[in-house]
Amino acid sequence: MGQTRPRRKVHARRAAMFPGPTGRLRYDPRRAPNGMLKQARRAPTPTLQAPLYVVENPKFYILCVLEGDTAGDNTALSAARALADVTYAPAKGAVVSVAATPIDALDNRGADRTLTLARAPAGAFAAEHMATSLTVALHSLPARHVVFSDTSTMRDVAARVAAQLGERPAFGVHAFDGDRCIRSGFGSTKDIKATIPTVLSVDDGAAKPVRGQRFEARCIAIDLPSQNMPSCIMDLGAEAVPANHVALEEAPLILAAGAGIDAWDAFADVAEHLNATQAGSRVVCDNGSLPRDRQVGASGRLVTADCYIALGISGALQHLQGIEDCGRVIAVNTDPAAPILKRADLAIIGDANAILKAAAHKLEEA
Amino acid sequence: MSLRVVTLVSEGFHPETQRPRRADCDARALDMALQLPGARVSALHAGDPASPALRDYLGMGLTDLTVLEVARECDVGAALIDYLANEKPDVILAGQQADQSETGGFLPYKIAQELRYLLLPMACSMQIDGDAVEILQARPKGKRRRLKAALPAVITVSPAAPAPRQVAFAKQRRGHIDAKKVSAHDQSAPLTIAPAKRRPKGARRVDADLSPEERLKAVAEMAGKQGEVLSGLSPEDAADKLLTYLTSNGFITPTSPQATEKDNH
Ligand SMILES: Cc1cc2nc3c(=O)[nH]c(=O)nc-3n(C[C@H](O)[C@H](O)[C@H](O)COP(=O)(O)OP(=O)(O)OC[C@H]3O[C@@H](n4cnc5c(N)ncnc54)[C@H](O)[C@@H]3O)c2cc1C
Ligand SMILES: Nc1ncnc2c1ncn2[C@@H]1O[C@H](COP(=O)(O)O)[C@@H](O)[C@H]1O
Repeated sequence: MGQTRPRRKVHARRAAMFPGPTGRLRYDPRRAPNGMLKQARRAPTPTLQAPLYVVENPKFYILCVLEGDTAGDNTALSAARALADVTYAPAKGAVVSVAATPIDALDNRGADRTLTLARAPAGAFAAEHMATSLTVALHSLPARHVVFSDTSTMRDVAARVAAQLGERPAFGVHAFDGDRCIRSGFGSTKDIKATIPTVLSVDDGAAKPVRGQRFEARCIAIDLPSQNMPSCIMDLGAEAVPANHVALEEAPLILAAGAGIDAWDAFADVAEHLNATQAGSRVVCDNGSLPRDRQVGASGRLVTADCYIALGISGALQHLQGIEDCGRVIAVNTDPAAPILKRADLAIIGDANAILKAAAHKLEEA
Repeated sequence: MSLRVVTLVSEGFHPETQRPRRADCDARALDMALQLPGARVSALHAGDPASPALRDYLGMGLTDLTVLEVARECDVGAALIDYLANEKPDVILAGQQADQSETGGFLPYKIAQELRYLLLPMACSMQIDGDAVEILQARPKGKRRRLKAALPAVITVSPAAPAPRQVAFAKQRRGHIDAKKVSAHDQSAPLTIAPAKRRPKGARRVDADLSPEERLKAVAEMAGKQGEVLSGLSPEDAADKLLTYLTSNGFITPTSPQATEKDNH
């Protein structure tokens, strides 16, 4: 009685904010410091080894086909776990990871069993070989579902398996809803919901990642009649294509020039030596220094390179939109206030033309 | 006997305006077929013969286009398979994925399986040599691989294939659409189709499952990170830094930048 309410601690409140699932700052009163609401007790983060999940006699199997690429494999594994643990609960099933080569650390990524298929013989097309082995494996290991990650390579394998089984697959599943799955179709304009088919490929975000648990990852073996699998498509091996013949959208390394560049010979030399694809801002495509199909940005190409090197580009919003999905950005600019430098992982303040000439010289010598 | 090539063409839609047009991959496939020396090329569609998109293919230089009349809700795959099983072409070309694909590119696989043809996926160029076909397969990150198989084969064409020729207005008008009635097959799978919901983009989505601290770390790693800034370097030093950065992050290989990387499937 007579007591005044404690003053709100504005700064404390701000300090208690944390980013939500979309990255926006959120405020959770339970986590606020004293003076607001009573602080909820959090269990100390366990440092002990995560508990082991054991399935002795699985009621069903979910196959999960791995490529050896961590991000895609985790996507597939988490979706397979969701199918095994949620969709058919309370029946207990096992996730069997399947790959052409042994893969590490499957125990904390969600595999109850692991199966290694024979590698494709030299000169045989791996996707065809894997699809045939999988179809054969499915005879002795009847699985409810075969899950792939939705990369173009895996979609090829998945389509072959589905065709051999005579079933329709679902590609690009991005959510599960009970015994149905949702994928996008019709040029991503529609969401299609259908019963979960035997063969499916999943996008990331279809299921929560596996965390805080260990799984058996017990090796199993299946007899695969190897001579029974004639491989008919021959793989004649990788072929080098000049980076400049590759569409910008596909290019892994892009060397891009803006209005600040006039050393075009050095630019071309460096691009050739680095095996980088040439690109430019609208200004250089407008004035004809580079062809129109090399323009990056909102009204040009949206690129997804692992590394984008921006030389003498100011970083106008329309240009930055084009490089949103690039991995790393290196920017060279004379102006320390150029907006591109904010997006850059490595920013070099200096004359891009001189740097290009120096780099061309060094690469020539090497 | 000349090589018989059938190109499967579907109704395309412009991704922004949704206006009917030739489908992107299918047009590339047809262009590839038309460039094969000494081949007898025909195009095949299952659906509505009155669809305006189909005329675009005629405009690429075909004199006629066969359309199997199939109602929208019926199984186009079965109709195509019946027709092709009779026709037995040496090569069936298809797009890797239709513009408005419901199956995500499964149809060519189904056809290949039913007809017992081999399927060579994601071609960006092809050559026929006697009774074998060789394609350059487009792989992620601009990589390419050469595949070879004996004919007959189904080949799907990647969006990375060269851009198709222009559509000529006069040819588009002049070309003939040859509609064929076929017996209907019902589509079995019940689907619920709704307008697509917006989903957060992969890179921006942070796990809803993390604790607030972990989430904070993930977001901080994703965004607010200002990179390294170097200034006052001589051009030579700057060039060095640039090349070292590229090498140490594995974007280029230090010894010979153009060495073909090992292809381990
Ligand atoms: C509707 C619309 C759509 C657009 N779409 C696109 C698009 O798709 N793509 C696109 O790129 N643009 C697009 N733009 C244009 C965009 O707004 C910018 O005008 C353009 O990107 C600027 O190009 P820039 O950075 O090359 O040139 P500038 O803005 O002129 O920048 C040149 C930069 O080079 C630096 N510089 C100068 N000399 C040197 C040197 N010797 N060494 C190093 N640095 C040097 C300068 O400091 C400056 O930062 C669009 C604009 C509109 C209105
Ligand atoms: N109705 C159709 N008629 C003829 N070919 C088709 C039809 N639908 C799809 N195709 C072919 O099959 C490819 C893959 O289609 P989809 O499986 O629908 O993505 C397309 O690129 C076309 O070449």
